[in-house]
Amino acid sequence: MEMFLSAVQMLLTYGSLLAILLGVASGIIIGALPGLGAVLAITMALPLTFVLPKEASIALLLGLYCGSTYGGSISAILINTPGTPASAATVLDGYPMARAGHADLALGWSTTASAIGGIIAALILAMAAPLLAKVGLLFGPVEYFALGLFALTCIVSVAREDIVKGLLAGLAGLFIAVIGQDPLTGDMRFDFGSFDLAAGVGLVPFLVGLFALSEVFWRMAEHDPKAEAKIMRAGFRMPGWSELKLRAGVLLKSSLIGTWIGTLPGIGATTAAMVSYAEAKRTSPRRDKFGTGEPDGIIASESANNAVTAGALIPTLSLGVPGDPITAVMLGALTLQGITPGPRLFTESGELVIFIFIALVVANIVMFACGAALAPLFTRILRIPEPLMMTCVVVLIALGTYSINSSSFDLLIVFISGVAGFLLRYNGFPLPPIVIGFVLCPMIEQSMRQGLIITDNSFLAFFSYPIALGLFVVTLLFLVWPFIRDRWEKSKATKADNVS
Amino acid sequence: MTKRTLDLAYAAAWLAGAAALLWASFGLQFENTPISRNPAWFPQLLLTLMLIAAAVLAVRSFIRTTATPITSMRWQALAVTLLISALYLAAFVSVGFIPATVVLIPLMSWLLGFRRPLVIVLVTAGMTIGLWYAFTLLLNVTPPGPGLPVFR
Repeated sequence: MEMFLSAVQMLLTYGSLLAILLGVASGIIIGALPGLGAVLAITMALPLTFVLPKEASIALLLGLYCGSTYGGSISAILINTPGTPASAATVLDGYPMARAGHADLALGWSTTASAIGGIIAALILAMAAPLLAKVGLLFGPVEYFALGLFALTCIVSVAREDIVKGLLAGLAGLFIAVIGQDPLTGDMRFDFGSFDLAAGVGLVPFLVGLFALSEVFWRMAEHDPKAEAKIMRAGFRMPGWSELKLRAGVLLKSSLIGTWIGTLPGIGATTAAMVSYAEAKRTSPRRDKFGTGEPDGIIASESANNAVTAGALIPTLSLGVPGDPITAVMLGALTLQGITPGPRLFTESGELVIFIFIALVVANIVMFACGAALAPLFTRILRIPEPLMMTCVVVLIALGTYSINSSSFDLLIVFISGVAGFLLRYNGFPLPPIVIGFVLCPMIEQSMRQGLIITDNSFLAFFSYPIALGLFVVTLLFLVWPFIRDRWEKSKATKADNVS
Repeated sequence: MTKRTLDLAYAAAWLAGAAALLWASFGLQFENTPISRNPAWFPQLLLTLMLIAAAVLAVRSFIRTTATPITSMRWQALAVTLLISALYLAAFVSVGFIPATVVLIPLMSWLLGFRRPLVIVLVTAGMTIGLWYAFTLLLNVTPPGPGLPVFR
């Protein structure tokens, strides 16, 4: 109790609270700009951590992390461009909802879901961090491979309308991630002698081109003046209490998925959001409306990706193993402050750990308030005439992408993936499976080959690992269940028609 | 063009692309290497699956009983957008952010049907100057090419 009060005292200072506010507000703006993202935001703030007190530094970094993860949903909803890869799934229902004239409600859902997801994860972090970290330690290469295969079942969920095209898209995403240097042997694959390709295809330029630039091409080719009249609902609208109660199950489940995936090092918020979206689409009573502006889709993606912010801190604080690239940078910042993450942190610096928990909860509350306050400003973007807005989006895409590596090759990737994204959309190929495949490929291939090294090149031995076996069984069920359920529902409908 | 024809065309493109890449992968010379140490195995698996899926798409397009037409598009507007975007991305690095942007915004807006010169000028100036300073001073990322005065 004393440590808790001491931690609260550390937080309730002008410095810490102001740091959270500035961090969240800056993070939201940076996250909303395609191509920038949380890593840039936190890296930029690192020099400040030298001059700020320890508590204010940590509060600033946490605020930036929460804010930038949420900020990606703003551009995803308003201009079909995920501001960060973690909001790629938010596009699927957020943008259609905005196009239908409910941008204010879409932002309300994403803000609410992000805040609640982050708070749930922070509470879990507070109660069970060391225990969850131990569970994370049980995951070796074989288990990661099984988890990767399970995550690939997302493709079946998001591409239910046309499984063959969804599979082709997923395979394309997996293949594109293979280009470059082999992670285990260092051999070059499909670089065709190009120095730039030897480094592989970057996730951010690829994603920005696939979603953002292809959307520019699509909007210009498909211009519908009547559609513009609908997108006028600027502002922020909180979802009603009855709607929140109706969707509480999706919110809780997605937050738990995000927290759990966040605890597993190397997976990240993008995978968490996609897995959560696919799971929601599989089980929601309103699954037929996914892709048309269904709030469950926004809730699933946003609560999961914000839950990862706390989930990823679990292995970072408990074991000193960063949960994702962003917590890797934060680990560096903590070390610079003289804080040594690891099992002893909880016993030797207990009040600091409690401070981090409380700061996370406060950051999510501040994020909700900032999101509500900034939303009317952002939604004014929707009033800009389409040719002018799309032109400005092209400028932002170029500048945001260039800012990553100052590379003209990244701009080429943006253009090629933009053209490819348009061509695929033209013939009804879904884009999310490409992202799912691209993001999961390194984990799947690397863990499979490491697992084969451990099992002496025997795939059968993979089934002797209990956690992996459990995941394989669940994967098979997830693959087969939607088809069984569809058949069952069709036969029920046929019987009902016959009776009537 | 109908959806059936389009599906066939796409399936043919996937088949050709996957086959060509699969052919290229056999040049990596890892035939006798175990899977765990074979960098070619996983991409070859993916390409083989891609060939199978593309073949299924082709067969399905023949079996499909209805051949629904696809939505019409404004191809001229698309061509303009594609060409100008490509030129802008190329000029972004070679000529610089400011010159490229100052040309892009008025040109693309005008060609795509936005005809309010004053608004175009204001947006061009605002975006170019605002973004340049925001990225340079706040984010410490200097856009390529000629810049603006910085008073530190």
